[in-house]
Amino acid sequence: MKVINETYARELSQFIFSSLQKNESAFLNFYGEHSQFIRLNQCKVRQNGVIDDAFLEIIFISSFEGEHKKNTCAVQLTGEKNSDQATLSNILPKIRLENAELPPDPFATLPKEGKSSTQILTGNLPSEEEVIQELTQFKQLDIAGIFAAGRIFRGMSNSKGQFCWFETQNFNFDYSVFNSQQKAVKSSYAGSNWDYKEFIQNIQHSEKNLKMLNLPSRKIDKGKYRVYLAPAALGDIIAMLSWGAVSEASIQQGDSALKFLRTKEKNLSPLFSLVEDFNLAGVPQFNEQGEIAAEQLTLIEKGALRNTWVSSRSESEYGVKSNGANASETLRAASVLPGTLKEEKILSELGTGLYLSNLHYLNWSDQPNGRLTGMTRYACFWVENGKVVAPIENLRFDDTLFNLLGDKLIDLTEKRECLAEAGTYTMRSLGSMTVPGALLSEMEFTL
Amino acid sequence: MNFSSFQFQEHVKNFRMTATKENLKQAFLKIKLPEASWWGLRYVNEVTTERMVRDKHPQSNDTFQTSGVMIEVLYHGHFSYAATPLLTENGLQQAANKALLQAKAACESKVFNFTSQVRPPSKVNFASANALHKRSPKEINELLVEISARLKKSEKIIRTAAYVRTVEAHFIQLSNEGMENEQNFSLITADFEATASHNHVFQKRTDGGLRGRSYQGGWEHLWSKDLWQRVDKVAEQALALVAAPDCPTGVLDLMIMPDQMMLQIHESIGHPLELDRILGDERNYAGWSFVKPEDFGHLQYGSSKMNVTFDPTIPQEFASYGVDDSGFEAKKEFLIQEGKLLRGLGGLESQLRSGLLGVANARSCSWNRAPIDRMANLNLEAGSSSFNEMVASVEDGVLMESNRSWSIDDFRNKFQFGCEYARRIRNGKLGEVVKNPNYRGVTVPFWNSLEKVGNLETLGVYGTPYCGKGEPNQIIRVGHASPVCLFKNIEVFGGV
Repeated sequence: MKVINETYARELSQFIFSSLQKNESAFLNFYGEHSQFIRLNQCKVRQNGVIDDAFLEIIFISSFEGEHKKNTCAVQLTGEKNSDQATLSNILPKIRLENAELPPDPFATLPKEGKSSTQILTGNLPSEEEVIQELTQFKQLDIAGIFAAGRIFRGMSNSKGQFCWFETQNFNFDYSVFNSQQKAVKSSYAGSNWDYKEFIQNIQHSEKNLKMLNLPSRKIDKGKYRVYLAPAALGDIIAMLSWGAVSEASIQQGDSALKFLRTKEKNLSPLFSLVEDFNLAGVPQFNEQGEIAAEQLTLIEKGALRNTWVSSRSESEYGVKSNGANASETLRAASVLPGTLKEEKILSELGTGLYLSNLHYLNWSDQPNGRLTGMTRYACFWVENGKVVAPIENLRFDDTLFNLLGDKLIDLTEKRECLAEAGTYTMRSLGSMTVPGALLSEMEFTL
Repeated sequence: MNFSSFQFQEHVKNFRMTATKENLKQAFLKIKLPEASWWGLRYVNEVTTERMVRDKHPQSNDTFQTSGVMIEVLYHGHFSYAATPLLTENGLQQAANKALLQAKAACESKVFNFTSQVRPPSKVNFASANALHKRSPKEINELLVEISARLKKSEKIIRTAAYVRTVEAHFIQLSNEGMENEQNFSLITADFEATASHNHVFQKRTDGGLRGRSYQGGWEHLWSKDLWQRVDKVAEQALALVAAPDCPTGVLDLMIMPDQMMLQIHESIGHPLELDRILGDERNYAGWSFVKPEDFGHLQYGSSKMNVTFDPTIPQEFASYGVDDSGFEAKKEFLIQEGKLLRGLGGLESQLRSGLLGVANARSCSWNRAPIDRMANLNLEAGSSSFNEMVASVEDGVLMESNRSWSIDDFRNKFQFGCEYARRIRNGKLGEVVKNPNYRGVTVPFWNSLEKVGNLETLGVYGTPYCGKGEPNQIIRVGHASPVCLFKNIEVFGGV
């Protein structure tokens, strides 16, 4: 497959826009990647290969006497100009035909002239052949995980002349190391510049941490316990806020627990602040309609709701000013502000309770009221008087946001971790989350 | 099935690329890979439409077309792959070359030494029994608007939505050893929901849980005879829920309707029985399993009333097919019989690696992901109890319906589920509606508390397009049929 780059995307954009009729407008969104995937089990290769993929989403709008009709069509791209233009020539009349049959959409957004941008981030990735040897050299370790690397691009253009392009080269080795008792430490090595020494240090650090899991496990009874959530565990809770919480539409439609913050019936802890910070995340600031989000957007400040994510559609429907949210109004560049808890004081401040490295399979058990359930996973320990005593058998928690990020939050750590996005549904995801650890006076475990 | 009579909607057909088995085969036969012992091609062309109306206004009219091939190469016992959307002779050769390079680089570190026996030279044709015949976007949107409008039976209903998703997919598999399979699928998911609010209480009610009405077939699954009856029921039950007390907390008998049994089967039978999980492939993501290889043939997974099958043959069930993505022909098998665990959910590769019996379930979500063990249609077979007999046998219990929350641990033991709607059962009679019904348990003790299994009259066939697993990640469709079931002494609880 030929490389699809900014120039090619501009050419295809021009090709499509020149075919539009007077009452028609469009947004185009380009998505693509060249990715290598190496899947490991027992530090051996289970499956490996390379994927080339790209598609173009056409958001088509027709306007007549103040009414607008909208439909979208996403088509496969190959990078071969004749083939792609033939596909698009074939598609456009079909899109038009379907559009004519649709009811008007009172909340459709039309393209505007906007700021264009190009951001091309290069990287230094390992060779696709050599990296396999580098990953599988640790014969003494039972490593399971996935190495994903390559180029990713995103582009947006509209019929008013705006064009935004973002591409990056990155890698993510997301893995777990297991001991003979089926206990594991989870880690990742991610970035844009592969450094072999750093990679080895990362593995060695995981190997060292694994030793703590060799102690006999302890079964913990259900109940309420003092807890330290390591950054990855807090990150799992923060990620849930993308599921019907920070979205303006979710608040308006009654789904979001943050509606209680808006009405000031409830607050979260004054220690908790959540910001979207595009300086930290490695994602494009433009959305599917070319709206550019601010570099930083404060969502929650000292426990109070300052902003939600508001799409232009929500602005039309609810009269709340839009702020460059994506269509789903989800988090893209989450940053939880740090606290004062020093890393060397974590265990002593925890005292007696649970140290949780990761959580697993979170879900809302009562979404409108902000109750969450999930499991502990990976390197979780029982701590007594500031000393790690034993790894624990897994536990189920069921507790509310208003406890976990509210009344029960004692402090957050000074030091934060950048958790790179490892998702690969449909295509490799972009972005990351920057979070501290959290010390809680109490968390409820039910099974 | 006669492929020349297989009908597609006009406008969907026009979105398809022009690959046919014959022209792909011609290009495939020109691939030169003298160093490889086996190579194969898996082509997928899939057109998905999603249409949604919320509060009588269109939210989405989306079409997504994807088309490409994955070339797999076997070199010194190891399979590697390269996937491309470029369906030309040159595109296929380039992909084959890339796959071979990957296999050469990895074969010394492979997890197992395979032969081409795990890619049998099958020749299977399959097509969905019913197709999505012509329905215009206008008709579809008009129906969705009508459903959305009818759901708003009261000012207390603050949100209504109606949704339909269709998928038409064309699969072709070829290999240098003579595999030649072709499958055509026609799939539909239909759903609608109403959210009611009263005195700061919000309750959502849907038609069968989260996109549970997912079927193989045509528009008959949207334009059904009982459509308006179900629409009215969803609206009425949403209003009943906002006025209802919370589900009680306690250890009670639990009757579960098929649209919640779907998730119970999926999470606590399907995933733990996937052989690749048991082999440890999923440990970094979806997790492991409490099931060990030595459990097969021995473990009493559930009560003697429990019979579970992998069944790819039910025409309207979402994940029926003729052959899996490794070329293994699919047939019905018992996984659990009278409660005893017999067989795992693993394709040919996992069967070879583990030495365990499996089924034809090596599946991938598309051309751009490699096949892994995926449940497909996983069903609890009907028993002999009528619905009324089951209710009459309960002194103190709850009947729960339609999943809204699901969570289980990484070994598939400790689960928690929430449902949309429930009713109390006291002294053998159905009582008042209760809201926020949840329950939790541990897999094997839970299934061993299965007391009664409903008869065929209580059977519901459901599915979901959204089962997630794998590294890299894949979302795939699954089907689950189940009767109503009664479990004894389950930990049940209500809202905040």
